[in-house]
Amino acid sequence: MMAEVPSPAVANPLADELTGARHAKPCALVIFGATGDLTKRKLVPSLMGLAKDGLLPPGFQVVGFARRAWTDDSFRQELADGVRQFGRTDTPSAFEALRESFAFHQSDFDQPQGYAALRERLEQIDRHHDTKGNRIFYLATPPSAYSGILQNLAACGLSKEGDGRFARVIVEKPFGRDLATAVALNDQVRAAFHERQVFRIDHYLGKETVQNILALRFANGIFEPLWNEKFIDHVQITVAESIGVGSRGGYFEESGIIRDMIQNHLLQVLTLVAMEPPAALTADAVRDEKVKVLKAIRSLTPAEVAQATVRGQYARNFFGGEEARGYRDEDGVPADSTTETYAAVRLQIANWRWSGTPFFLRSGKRLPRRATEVAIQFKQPPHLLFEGGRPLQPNVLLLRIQPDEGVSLRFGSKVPGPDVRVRDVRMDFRYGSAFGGEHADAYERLLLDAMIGDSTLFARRDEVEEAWRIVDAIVAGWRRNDQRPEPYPAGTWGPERADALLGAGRTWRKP
Amino acid sequence: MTALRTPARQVALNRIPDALRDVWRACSSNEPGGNVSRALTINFIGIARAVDELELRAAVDKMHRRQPCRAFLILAQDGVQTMHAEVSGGARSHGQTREIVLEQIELRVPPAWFGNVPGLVRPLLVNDIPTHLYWATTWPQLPRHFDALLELSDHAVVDSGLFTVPAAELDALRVRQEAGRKLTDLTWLRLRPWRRALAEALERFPWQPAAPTSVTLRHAANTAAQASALLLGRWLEKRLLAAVFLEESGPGEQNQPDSVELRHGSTTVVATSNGRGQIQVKVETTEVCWLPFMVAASRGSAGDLLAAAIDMA
Ligand SMILES: NC(=O)c1ccc[n+]([C@@H]2O[C@H](COP(=O)([O-])OP(=O)(O)OC[C@H]3O[C@@H](n4cnc5c(N)ncnc54)[C@H](OP(=O)(O)O)[C@@H]3O)[C@@H](O)[C@H]2O)c1
Repeated sequence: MMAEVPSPAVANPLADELTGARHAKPCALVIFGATGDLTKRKLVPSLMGLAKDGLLPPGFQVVGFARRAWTDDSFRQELADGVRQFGRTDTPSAFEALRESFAFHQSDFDQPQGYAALRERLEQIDRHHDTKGNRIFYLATPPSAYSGILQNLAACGLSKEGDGRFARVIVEKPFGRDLATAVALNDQVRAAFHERQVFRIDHYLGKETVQNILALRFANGIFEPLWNEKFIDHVQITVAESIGVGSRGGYFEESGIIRDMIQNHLLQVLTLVAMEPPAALTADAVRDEKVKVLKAIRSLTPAEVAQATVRGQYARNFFGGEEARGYRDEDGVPADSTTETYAAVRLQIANWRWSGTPFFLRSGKRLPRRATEVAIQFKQPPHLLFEGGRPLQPNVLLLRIQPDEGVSLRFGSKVPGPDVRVRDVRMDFRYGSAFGGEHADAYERLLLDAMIGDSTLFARRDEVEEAWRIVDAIVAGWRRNDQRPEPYPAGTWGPERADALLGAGRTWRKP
Repeated sequence: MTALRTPARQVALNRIPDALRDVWRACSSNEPGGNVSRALTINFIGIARAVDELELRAAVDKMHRRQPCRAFLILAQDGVQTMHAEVSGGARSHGQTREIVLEQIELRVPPAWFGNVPGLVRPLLVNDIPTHLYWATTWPQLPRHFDALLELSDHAVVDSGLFTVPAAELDALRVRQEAGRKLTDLTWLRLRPWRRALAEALERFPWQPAAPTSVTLRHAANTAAQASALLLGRWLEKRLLAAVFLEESGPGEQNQPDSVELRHGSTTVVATSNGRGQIQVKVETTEVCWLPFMVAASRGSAGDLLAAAIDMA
């Protein structure tokens, strides 16, 4: 009798149901620092946002790793509270349905036995939940703990991939405090994981409105032809906060606004505004173009730093109906602190597209309003016909990242009546109106991307290091020039000297 | 951000544009420097029987938060002699700025007047934005009424779960889809987790095209579940070249299948609704029996699915 010859197998005939939408493969997530603030406020509420939208993979499990003597039960209770306080609508019920998927693993980061036990636990999860050896490690810990965790993960083989299994690590900011420490951290990461396994979170990139910068530029035909030095006078990128440092004085004192905001969020936004169109929307094509922008920004010399930067520190003032403390009066801040709570920087991108168009970056605490925006200011028309040849307000394309997310365009329009008078009007698109409803948090998008393995919205090693190179030169210039922060009253738009930074005929926007 | 609704006002059919202007006036802010703008992104035409009025309203309410719209709510009502119109509006206010996010025109239409609806609606559609039709009722006895409204629209949404003779009416729908009409069926969207669960199961073993494949779909004895099972069955028949059998499991309210049993050679996949919003999937081959996995079943209301259908269109 002849044996039956099986026909050759083909790929899953329903596979398009899994790839069409963005679906993650089954996996387990290990959160280091699971008793911390970030886990409770952001990570787990965001995971439940994904669960509510049906975006978590089947069998998904979470193991929380921290030092405290918590049990599975107390851990779950704490997370349930967090989801209730910080989650989107309907996430508490999503958590209840998945409660059993959360487990607590008590160990010190420095204890190798803790990792051996973690490994066993993960293997058990693979057997029971078919997570197939796929793991994501989230470092939600103080940066000082990174190196121990990374070494231990590598030593017990948890960072290895193979046989279709993935192992990924998500690293929270700050990625170092200068170029040297960033390189050292990246080397430690590299000793345990390949770059393709590493996901460095800058939550700004998870914001819809930040991603919309690329959509606006490259999905529309009308903007890109104007997007260069011929038509754009300058670009202002602002991240303003109205709050002070609060209880984070001790941490902030070590970093200052340039490390805390400009090195990461503002430079990330700048690269999206300034980059060339990528050949495709793949992770490396996009990040290659972003890195090129950073590379085209020369490190400033101390003399240039004196001209092109302004440092400020908020001083006591009556603001928002009350007496606001000055930075030096905040808890954890020395009375003679020289840390800046405001910085404005003029950067020049030395390439064909942007030569001659300055980019002004500013960020500060205790400014009048909380606002993040990119303002693209266009040049004046070559010949001024109206208002007796006096220059009118320039056209501004405004990308509002938060709050009141949207895009608006300011242009001049004739005032009805017998005279020829021109007044500014605004054409406005608001996210909330055009796409009402509740939007996913930035962390939701980023967690899902990490599960899918899409690193487009994560910072690559060279990006982080280039950004530090630019910032290091500024910090070194400040030190060399003994450029101390200038006081500004809390609730104002920063030191007056910041106006001079812009050059004649330009003013800072007051968002 | 706060929401504001103007009260509904009855108006004569030829005064609807004036009533809309009154809505804008009512929405504008009285504060100095305040202004009002319209943020409409779609025209929306929703049709239901007057007895299903509440369901249609709930769906539109959900949907307009995501898609600010000029909405026509058309309620087919027996026992009235002539067509009645009511106009109302909704706005959001951000500081001094008000934004109109809903202009609603509600029409109560006796059966004999139905043919006049397109003529009334057409000039009232806001130009330059897409028009979506939501046919939230049974398949029409006079399909030309449906077709006339389809003609006005860029995209139409139906729910075959509301059909009375699903097999024949799904065919009628398919004819229109094949003719190039953009049509979304909410019942098909509700099946998405089932499709995904089965696709996920097929990842666990090799697919042999020559191996015999059969599928048994069990569903409650109601037309909504029948429509759902028919859609899923036809899809599996086409994609897996499977022999598909539909079985009624007995009386029940559920509008999705109870279970899908797929046999492929010596492998069995059983996906079962556990009645608590989850689909449990078991895969068994001659060598391995996998631990079951769960996929969340669709919990979206008609309004959520409608908003999703419009987003995707
Ligand atoms: N919080 C935020 O909103 C936020 C936002 C952006 C970025 N981040 C970044 O996210 C990271 C975590 O922030 P966080 O605010 O969540 O920190 P946190 O509240 O201080 O939490 C630190 C966590 O690390 C654990 N831990 C510390 N040392 C340990 C050790 N030796 N062994 C075991 N566990 C140890 C703690 O566990 P035990 O308490 O059990 O000891 C705790 O779970 C930081 O890098 C921060 O910069 C935070």
